[in-house]
Amino acid sequence: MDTKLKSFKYAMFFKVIAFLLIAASLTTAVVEIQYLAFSDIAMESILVPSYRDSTQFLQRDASSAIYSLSSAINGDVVSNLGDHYYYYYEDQMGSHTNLASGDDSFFKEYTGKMFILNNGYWEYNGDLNRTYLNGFVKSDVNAYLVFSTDYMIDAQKEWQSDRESALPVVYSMIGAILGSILLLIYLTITVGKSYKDDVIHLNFFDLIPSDVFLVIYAALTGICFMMLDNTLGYRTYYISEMMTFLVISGMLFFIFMVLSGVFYLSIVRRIKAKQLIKNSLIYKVIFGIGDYFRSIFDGRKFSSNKLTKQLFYRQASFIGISFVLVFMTFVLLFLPPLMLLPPLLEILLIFWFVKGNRETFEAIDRGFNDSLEEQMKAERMKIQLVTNVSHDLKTPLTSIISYADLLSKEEDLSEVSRDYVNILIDKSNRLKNIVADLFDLAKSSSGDIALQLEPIDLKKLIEQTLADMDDEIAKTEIQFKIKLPEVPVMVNADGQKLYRVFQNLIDNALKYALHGTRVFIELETINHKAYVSIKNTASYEMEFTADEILQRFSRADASRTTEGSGLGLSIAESFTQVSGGQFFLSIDGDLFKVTLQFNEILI
Amino acid sequence: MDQAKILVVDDDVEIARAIAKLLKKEEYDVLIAHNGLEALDIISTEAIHLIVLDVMMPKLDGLSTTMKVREKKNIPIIILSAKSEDTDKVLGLSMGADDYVTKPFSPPELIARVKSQLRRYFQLGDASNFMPEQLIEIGGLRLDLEGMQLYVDGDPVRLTAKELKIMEFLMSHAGVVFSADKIYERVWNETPYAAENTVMVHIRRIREKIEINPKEPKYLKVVWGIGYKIEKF
Repeated sequence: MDTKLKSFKYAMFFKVIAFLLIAASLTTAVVEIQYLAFSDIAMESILVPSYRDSTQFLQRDASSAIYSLSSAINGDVVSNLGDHYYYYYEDQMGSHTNLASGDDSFFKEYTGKMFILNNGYWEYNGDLNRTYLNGFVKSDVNAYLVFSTDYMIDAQKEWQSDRESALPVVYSMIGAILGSILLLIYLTITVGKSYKDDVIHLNFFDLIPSDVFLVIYAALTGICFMMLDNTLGYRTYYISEMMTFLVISGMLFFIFMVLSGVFYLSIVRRIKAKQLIKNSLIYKVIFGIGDYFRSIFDGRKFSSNKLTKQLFYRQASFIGISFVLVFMTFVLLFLPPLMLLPPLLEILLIFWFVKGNRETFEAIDRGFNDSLEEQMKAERMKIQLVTNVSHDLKTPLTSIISYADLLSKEEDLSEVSRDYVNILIDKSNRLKNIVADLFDLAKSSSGDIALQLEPIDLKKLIEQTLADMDDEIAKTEIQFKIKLPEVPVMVNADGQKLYRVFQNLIDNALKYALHGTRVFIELETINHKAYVSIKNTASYEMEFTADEILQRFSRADASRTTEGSGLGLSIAESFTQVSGGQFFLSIDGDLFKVTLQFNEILI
Repeated sequence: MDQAKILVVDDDVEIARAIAKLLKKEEYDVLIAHNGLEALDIISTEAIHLIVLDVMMPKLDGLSTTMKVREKKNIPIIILSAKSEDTDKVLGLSMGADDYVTKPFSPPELIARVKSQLRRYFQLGDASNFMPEQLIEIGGLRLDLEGMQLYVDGDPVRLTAKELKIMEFLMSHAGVVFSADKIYERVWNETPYAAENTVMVHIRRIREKIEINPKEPKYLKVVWGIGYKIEKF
């Protein structure tokens, strides 16, 4: 259950959905703001339910009424005085009002809702600090101003309708923003993680160096905002086509949101993986340079080359000291006796430098020669070993064969003993063949083999080998299908070795081909390469790979036959290679195929 | 000369004894030495007719012994060695040995080679008495052109007319390699057709008749991918 929940939590699908949701809802929120801005709705109505308390009321209706009234008090002629409000003031000329009663007792019932001029300041609800209420008024005049109830009821109605149309938009905006924040938290936590392991998985974006990534992001968002700004600049022209404008700005904003999201999440992944700084171009360059210099001085660079290290330090000190000496020469130019000192020191320095370098180079040469000699010695040892082992095997074998032969010539042998001796002779002869094959193989694969490379005709060689093995082929029920070109195919090779190759391959085919089937031998040349292929159908299931069969000592079918050393194919491969050819073996079901490739020489 | 005297030289006591036994069974008189110096001692005092000589020996190795023997005597030397490379064989033969047998050898083959060398050695003495005009001689091979008869180490070998013609052609150009086509042209006097197979089959027959070990021919050799030749001695 837990894992299921986890897999759910970290599912890519949900992350993508969350990501798109954030982008979409924030875009919606922004578009809604735009919409409100366009549709001439008083935003303040959202926060202030009563028009009377709103700043808009004070700024628009109240301030223009107060301005008119103040002007009137100051003695100006005001045309629209008392449009939808009642006023009353007294000055030297007596009382002025638009009230029918002409009496200030009317204002008593409006306590707290009217504007009062007192000591040259207008106040509203006892509040003096509203600058928009200030008119330049004589301080000895008292005045009252109150808006008519009808007017206020109408204004409140309008205010209310604004509020009603704006509120749902505002709530959905708040919802969108809150939801986005929650989703963003979810994404921030889960991004880069998978339910399978605790490793932070970085994707394609995270491989871009951080600083480069930042520049790309800044450039793209810059373009985005330029376009958005451009659109906003023409807002007035779009006013009749509000929807078009909203769609365009919404799209641009959506793009911006996606870009920002990708950028933000990548940064989060980088921080989680501790890659933010490390994976930046600036860091890499600085680190690389710093590391290089550090490696020179902490010896890391020359850890495996002591001599190179010596050489480097000697060179560095030579250049450094020379520089100082040249500088000193100029400094001491004015002290003639001391002037000679730096050049003398320089001569000593050059002497030290040349001598040291020569020693280092000699050491390098010595090391090089030593390793070369070591290598040669190892090679010689290997060849020596093969020769010695071969000799050590052959000598006792010679005794065994000789004495078995002598034993077989004894006349008073029992029937059983004679049988045993014959087995001994038979097996010791087989052992002799194996040792000979082993020796051939060891020599050819160690490279210590005398080769007589000369131009030979592959076609002729195949014909000769087949004729040479005529008797053996005739003994079996296997038919040979030979396809050779009309013209000679000349290659540079050792004929004796190649004969062994073909002999072994034909021998192999004779031994393991299914009775009554055909063996195909083909020679062809393509682009100055000669290809010889030998194919046969195996008489048994080949449960081994091409590599296994070429492993020395492996036998295709150990139980089936007791002749041969099992080295035939390996020898064929090795001899082909020392003759400059390539040996390919393929097993396809029952089809056993060997292909040899040689470079044809042109005459 | 009823009994040939053979010297067997091998530092391996058992092998020397086995060879001596094998040869004694063939009614030869056998002496044994275990190194080159011993061998030279015996040769200087005894009348030896053939030496079977190992190569890797203490004190004086087989090749040096061969050279020393050749300074004075012409007795046949069969080298017996664990070294089986062609270059070793060529080296041994060029030092003056008459034959080269690799260890481990097959006893019947060794005896056949001993016999053939002895026959040649003894007949060479007689041979000088009657030398036909028309004679080609290469190693142990002797082709009498008048009588159209091939002798191997003095023994006549029965060859067919075509086989004789091939031998005549190759022996008169010993050491030269001829292609099957060339041989076919000269022997059959026809335009070559499927020459390779025909010639090769003939060569194989001849080898079975003249070589002690047809798988490792001494005289008639196939130069793989090129042609055929009679080795020059």
